[in-house]
Amino acid sequence: MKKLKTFAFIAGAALFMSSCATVSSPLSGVIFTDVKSPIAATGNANSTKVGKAEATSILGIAATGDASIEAAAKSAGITKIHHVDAHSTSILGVYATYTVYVYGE
Amino acid sequence: MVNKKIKRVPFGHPLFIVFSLFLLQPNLQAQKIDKHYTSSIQENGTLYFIKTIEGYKNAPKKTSLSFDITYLSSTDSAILNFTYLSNQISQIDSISFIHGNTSTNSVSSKLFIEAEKLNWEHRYSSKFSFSDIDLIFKSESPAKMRLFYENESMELVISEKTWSKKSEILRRIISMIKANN
Repeated sequence: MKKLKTFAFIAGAALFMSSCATVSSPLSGVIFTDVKSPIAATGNANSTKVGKAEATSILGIAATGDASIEAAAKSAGITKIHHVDAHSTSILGVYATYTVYVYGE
Repeated sequence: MVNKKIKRVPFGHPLFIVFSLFLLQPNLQAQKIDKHYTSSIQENGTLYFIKTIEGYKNAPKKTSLSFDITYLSSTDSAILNFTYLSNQISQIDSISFIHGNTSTNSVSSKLFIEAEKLNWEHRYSSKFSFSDIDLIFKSESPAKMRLFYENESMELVISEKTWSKKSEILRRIISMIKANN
């Protein structure tokens, strides 16, 4: 009986954890994540424009959006990229966002 | 012998209180501005990006508008990029903010128009002087927006509650930018 309970607990925990909204980040917290991180830098000079693109995940069940560099650059009409940063947030594994910021001109 | 059962009040449980405080945290810190902008130091000044402001709508025509603002501290003008969602394609000429008796207008240039589910996503770019942006968001009453396209125009409004919240954040960001200039 004890083995069965342990097995049920592990199975339940695995099922619960598999349904968490996880987000790509160099550091992440189980309860809360709010981390900015670098993606890329180029040799191009100065930035005058900033573009943003975002994708979201709910409970790890549904994830939607376009957080590509292409989408972020397009949103601000950027043709020469200076650098790219990312911002990852997650709350209790319930709701997570991944945002890409492209700087350029 | 009376069997006294101690009634547990679920809302009084310490864990519930801690959890509630955690959930309330974003509301308690509603005036924090660091989540609403990014800044990047460039050779010719600091580049500020004020993240997307949502809330402008035209309910009868089922259209909505959101915008973000980019400002380089060495210049006088700010770029306002906006996304206009509508079920019809429109070639937008210009955009204006109406605050009080003042109307601030700017020509809009197209970035792209794409399909977004059943609507059309119009992405346009406009330039406003930084002092005009400052003035618009100082307005206590919600500033209206008007889009001009193909000899027509459309007014979009924002609720007082949303304006109060968003304009306060913008005012604080603008104050910070001015302090650094």
